[in-house]
Amino acid sequence: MHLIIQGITSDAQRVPNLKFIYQLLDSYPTQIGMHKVSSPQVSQYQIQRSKQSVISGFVLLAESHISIHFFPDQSYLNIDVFSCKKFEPQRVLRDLQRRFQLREVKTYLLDRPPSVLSIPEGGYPDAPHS
Amino acid sequence: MHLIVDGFVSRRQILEDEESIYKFLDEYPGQIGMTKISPPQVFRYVGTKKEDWGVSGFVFIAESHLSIHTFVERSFVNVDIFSCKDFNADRVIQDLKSWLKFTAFRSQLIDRGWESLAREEPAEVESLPRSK
Repeated sequence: MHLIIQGITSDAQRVPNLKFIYQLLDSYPTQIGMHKVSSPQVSQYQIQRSKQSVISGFVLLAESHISIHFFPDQSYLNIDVFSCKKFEPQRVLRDLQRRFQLREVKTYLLDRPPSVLSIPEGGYPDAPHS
Repeated sequence: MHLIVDGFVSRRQILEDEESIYKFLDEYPGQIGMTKISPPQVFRYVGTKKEDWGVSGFVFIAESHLSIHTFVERSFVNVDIFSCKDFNADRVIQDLKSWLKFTAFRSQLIDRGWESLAREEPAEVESLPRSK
């Protein structure tokens, strides 16, 4: 299950702050029953071509990852919550909408467990058939 | 632009090879005109169930990221190539196919630029659309 959230933040005070994004990536996974396999990595950098500033954050989970890319010039946030286990997308959307004070939200929910694909004839290669 | 590729692979040994996953994350962005802004991070993990193990990695590129998650016992892999700069998705799919030797795969392409917000009506919270 992969939830994509795109939106404009109304919170011009906290969101452009690396620490805010780090803390969210550090604390949120356990709140929704996911398990971190690394500390979050958060970086701020400037795109040479456009001189645009970006803050990017990423945390790897046993279940997959959560990433956040923030574009201060547009107040634009791009969030991915991706887990091979099921979670409650409505709850995550509500939580993140509230924490980032998002408006003009656009979301996608993608199915990404192996079951979406037809199982190859004869089972998975070099793996149990079940 | 966000390309998502999920697939079963015939070369299972690649999925447990941290070095080759690191190498892919380190070298591939440059091959498709993307700029890395940090070295890749790659970890081997074991999930809550013993058979749930694999390698996960990501690398920041200017404006977004590449990530890979492997599920070794299922010979399954999730790949995300996410960039606000356009890239040739067909070429990336071909490159992934020749590297990973998929036996079955699915790809999806999603528009992630901030301009895309204006193009469509914002989604309702209670009715998350499913991608086709």
